[in-house]
Amino acid sequence: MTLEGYENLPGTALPAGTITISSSESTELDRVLGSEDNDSGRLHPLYAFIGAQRGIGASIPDICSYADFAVEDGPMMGTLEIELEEPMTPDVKYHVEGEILDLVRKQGRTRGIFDLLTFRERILDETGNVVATVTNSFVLPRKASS
Amino acid sequence: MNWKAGASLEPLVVDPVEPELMVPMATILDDPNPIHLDPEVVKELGYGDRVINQGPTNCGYVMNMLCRAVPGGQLIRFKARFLGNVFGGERVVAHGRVVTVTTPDDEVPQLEVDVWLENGDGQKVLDGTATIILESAQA
Repeated sequence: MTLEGYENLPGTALPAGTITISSSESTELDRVLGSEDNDSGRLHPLYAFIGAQRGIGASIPDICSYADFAVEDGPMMGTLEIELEEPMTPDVKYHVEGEILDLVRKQGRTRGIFDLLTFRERILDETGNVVATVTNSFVLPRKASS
Repeated sequence: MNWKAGASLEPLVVDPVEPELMVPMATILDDPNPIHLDPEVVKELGYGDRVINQGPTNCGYVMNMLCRAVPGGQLIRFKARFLGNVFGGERVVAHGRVVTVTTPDDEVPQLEVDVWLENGDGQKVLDGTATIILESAQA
C-alpha cells in the first residue's frame, strides 16, 4: 500500500532526458569493474542502468526528493531489474523516460523502518524503440520519529 | 558448450574490492552518496567503519562472471536483490548456476541462471536471476 500522504506519487513522470556514453567512459567502467577484456565494441550491460540513471532528467537527490528524503541520509539500492532488448553502443545518443511506481513503508529486522521507492526508466533509440527497461527500488532509511 | 540445468558457472573472484575505485564509479554513476566516499559518514549512519561499494558495481561483478562463463552470450535480463553491503577491502565471489535451458518458439536457445555474490564470510550480499541468449552452436 502506498505510503499515506503519497497516494498521488505512483505514475508521476520523471523528467525525460538524453544520454550519450562515450568510448572513454565505456573504457573507464571496464577499468572500475575489472572487465578490461571487453573488446565487444558494445557498452557493458551495466550501462543500461547507468545510462538510465544519468540520462533521466532527474538526479538521484531529485528522485529521493519525491519521497522527501535527503541523499545525505544514505539511500541504498534494494532491487535492480534490467531488460535489454539489444546491446547499447558507445557514442550513440539515447532518450530516457520514466516514472515513479510506488512508495511503501517497511519494517526490517536489521534496517528498522525504511521506505521503498520504486521507479522505472526506459532507454529509447533515435527511432523511439525501447532498447532497455530498468526498474529500481531505493531503500530510504527513516529515523523512528519521521 | 552443452549447457544443462544444474551446471555451475565459473566463479569470478574480486579480491580486494578497491576503495579507490569507488571514486571514479561515483563519477560514472553521477551519484554523490557519501557512504561510498567517506568512512566517517558510514560510521555516523551505523553501517560500519569502511566505505560501502556501490550496489551497481556488485551487479557489474556478477555480469562479468556471466560474460566470461558464457562467451558470446547476450545478457537480456538481469534481476538483483541487494541483501547486504560490500565494504572496501573485502573479497567477493560472483557465482551462477544454470536453472533451465530453453528454446522459445522460433528463437535462439537461452539460459536462465541463478546468480549471487558472496562476501569473504560466505554470506550472500546479492542474489538474483539472469537470462542469456546463446548462439545456436553454444546450446
